[in-house]
Amino acid sequence: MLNEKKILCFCTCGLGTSMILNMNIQKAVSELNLKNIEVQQTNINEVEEDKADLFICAQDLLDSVSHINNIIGIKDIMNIDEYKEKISTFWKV
Amino acid sequence: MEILNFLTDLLSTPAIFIGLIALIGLLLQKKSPQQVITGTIKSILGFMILNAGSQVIQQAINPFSDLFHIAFNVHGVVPNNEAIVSVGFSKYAISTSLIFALGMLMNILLARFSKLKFIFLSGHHTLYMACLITIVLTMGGMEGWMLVISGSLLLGLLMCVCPAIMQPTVKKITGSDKIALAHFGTTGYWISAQIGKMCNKFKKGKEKINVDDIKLPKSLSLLRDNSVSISIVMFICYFIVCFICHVWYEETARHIWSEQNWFLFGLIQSITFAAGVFIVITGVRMLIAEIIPAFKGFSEKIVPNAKPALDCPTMFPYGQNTIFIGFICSFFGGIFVLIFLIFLGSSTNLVIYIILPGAVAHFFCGATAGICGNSRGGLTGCIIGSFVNGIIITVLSSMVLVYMGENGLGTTTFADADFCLVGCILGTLIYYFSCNTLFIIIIILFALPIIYNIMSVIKSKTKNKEK
Repeated sequence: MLNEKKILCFCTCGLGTSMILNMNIQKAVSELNLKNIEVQQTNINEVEEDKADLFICAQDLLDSVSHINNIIGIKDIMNIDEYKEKISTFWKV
Repeated sequence: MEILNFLTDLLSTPAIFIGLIALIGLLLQKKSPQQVITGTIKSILGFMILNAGSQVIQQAINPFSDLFHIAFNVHGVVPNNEAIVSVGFSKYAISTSLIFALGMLMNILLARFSKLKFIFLSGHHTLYMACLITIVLTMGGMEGWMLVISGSLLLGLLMCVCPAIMQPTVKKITGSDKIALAHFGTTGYWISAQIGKMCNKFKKGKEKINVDDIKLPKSLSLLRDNSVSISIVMFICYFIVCFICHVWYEETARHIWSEQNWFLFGLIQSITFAAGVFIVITGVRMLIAEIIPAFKGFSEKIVPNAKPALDCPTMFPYGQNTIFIGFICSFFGGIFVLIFLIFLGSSTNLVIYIILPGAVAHFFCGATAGICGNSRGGLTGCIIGSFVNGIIITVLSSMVLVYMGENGLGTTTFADADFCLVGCILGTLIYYFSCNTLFIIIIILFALPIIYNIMSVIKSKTKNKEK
């Protein structure tokens, strides 16, 4: 559990878009063969710097969370390759 | 015998029943025992949280309703999906859960056997529509297996038809055919797109203003935070009624805020309302978190070539400014109807239910309507389309209240266009026809796309044979 990394994905309400993000992140993470990754979803209010190792949201929300540094914005929400590319760049896999 | 009684009790306990649906979903996904237990408990927790949120909302909204009536002599209703679903779901948990789960199966079936190949992935809207259908059909006298089958067929049908109606416009917005829209505000969006088309016809040849070139103040981004926007809108509503009651009807209204100062009362109650909605949303999120991935996984196996239909914010990147213009114009549309209804109520003897502006509905639906209007008709299409959307959702919210019965208790109603339209149509049909007739109508409607598909397949096979 010590090496477990946490990805927190979010959208405005934490209901619709973040559910899709959650499912696609899990798919991307398993295709990248990354172990010990926990993925959770929430709404934009809950986003704080130390709550996760990596934050992921839809690209248009990036402006609303400019105080977060460890964040990825996804443009094409159904494109798993984009997730894989951006996650592996972030963690230099 | 005792065990049988225990099992019956177990399955008729709403929270347990929902856990069972999640359990089946998790087992279907072949998750580990640890994940199955955690997921099932989380779903049950989600339901409990939803229930708790419902109590908070009611506590916050009931005084408002009384104060509004004292101040204006008409009923004031706050349109908020979470508020009314939390009441309806708690009351009809088992029927709603069954319709919710089976409705998703019907979506997959219809996508598999008809040309409407869309998988509706906005789980919270699926749940809300399931709740709406349950309330209206139950109020109309339908019950038991007929209620569940009618409800799930209808829900499955809507989950395919609504994305299909919007797909031409979504293709224009996103520039591709890869994703569809899963949001039950189709009525407003489609009308907004048609308005955009008309605007385009009138302005033929003239240059369209690019909405994204307009500079909007950054401070508008705080409206993006739902809890904040709900708090602000409710506070303005509460402030107005409390002020009027304090100045003109102090004796009648005093018992509502009792020892507390009227201004403080309004402030606390409005934020309590936002808190209640937040709690319900948290509950819904936990509830559907285990079920929707199972739905998606299952649908990918059965209908791999189906298009995923996604929540409306997936349209937002295609018009950052359009979002705010759409929200504001839709909001003004709502205020326009509000003022009209207040005059109507105070000058006639009609029992009018005033629909207050629903912050969340005007934000999400107004923004999406704005983007639809903009895609077809530029800035003019955006402004007029979303203004009309605001009018539509306010009027429809008022109309569907008739079919809600005791649910919402006259204080809240559904906010998004399709919930209200489907509610009104269903409610009217069940009033004029019997439950059996409506049941048959729904079966026929569900079968139509499948029959059409089969016939066109037979037609093309006959053509090929002739060649």
